[in-house]
Amino acid sequence: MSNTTETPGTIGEVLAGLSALPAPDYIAETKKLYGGLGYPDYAWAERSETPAFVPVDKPLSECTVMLIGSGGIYVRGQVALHTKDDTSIRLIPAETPSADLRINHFAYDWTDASQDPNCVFPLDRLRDLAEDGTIAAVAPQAVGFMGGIYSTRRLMAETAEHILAQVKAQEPDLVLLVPV
Amino acid sequence: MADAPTQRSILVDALQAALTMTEPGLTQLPYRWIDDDWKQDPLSWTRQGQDAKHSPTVEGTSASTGGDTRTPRNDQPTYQSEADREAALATSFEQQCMVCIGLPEPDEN
Repeated sequence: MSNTTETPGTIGEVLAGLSALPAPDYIAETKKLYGGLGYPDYAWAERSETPAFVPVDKPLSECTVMLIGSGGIYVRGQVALHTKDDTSIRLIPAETPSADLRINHFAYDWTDASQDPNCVFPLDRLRDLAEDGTIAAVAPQAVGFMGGIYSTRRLMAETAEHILAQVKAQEPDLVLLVPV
Repeated sequence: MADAPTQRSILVDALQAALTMTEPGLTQLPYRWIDDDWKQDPLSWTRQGQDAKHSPTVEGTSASTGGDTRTPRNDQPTYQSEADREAALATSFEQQCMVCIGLPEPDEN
């Protein structure tokens, strides 16, 4: 362990090895945060049903992978996402240079991610994997959207439906969802 | 700053995990941050603006309210830079329709 106190912000600051501390309990921490600010408990959405599970029946080298990220990613020239329950999505061509990827988000420090979007949207890395044959291909259109949508109803009825339509249209074997 | 080999390693492990899992759940990958202390107070950045090296700014809003330093939300597109706003304005809505799904059409005026 280093003795630095810098808030982790780049994937380059991770090391292989077992985690020294367990993953944070964000639900408990968020309740504590809002309680400290005088708000009532945050109403976390709860799903009563277990998500459908579909085993993948082919090796990774034969899989087309679609990238979806909630880190507020858009492409230079596109209308940026907004920060107040923006349920729209941005289609990001798989060949988009990372230098053309842009970020804005209200709920995380995106300084490092703006310099290396792969921190939150690993499009370069997926292209690397496709180029060396680790995966078969990157799905033609990745999806960027703004996380932190407070309305669960709108998230499911709008954002999820937009994304689902893209997944169905592109028929990837795997979807890599990168939450932020 | 970019650590492409580590990014690649995490990505491959994550994708492989998806192929080996047999039911919904979590798989712990063997990676950790150099300094894990942040996990003891993971939302400290919301109270201590100095922790954030670059808090996003939203035009026309103040940066904080009381002890909460999160950026106020705004229903206008928030660009990474002014140049990006200009680049978007230079793109026709017809082209935007191909890439921005769920956007309302712009007002005539």
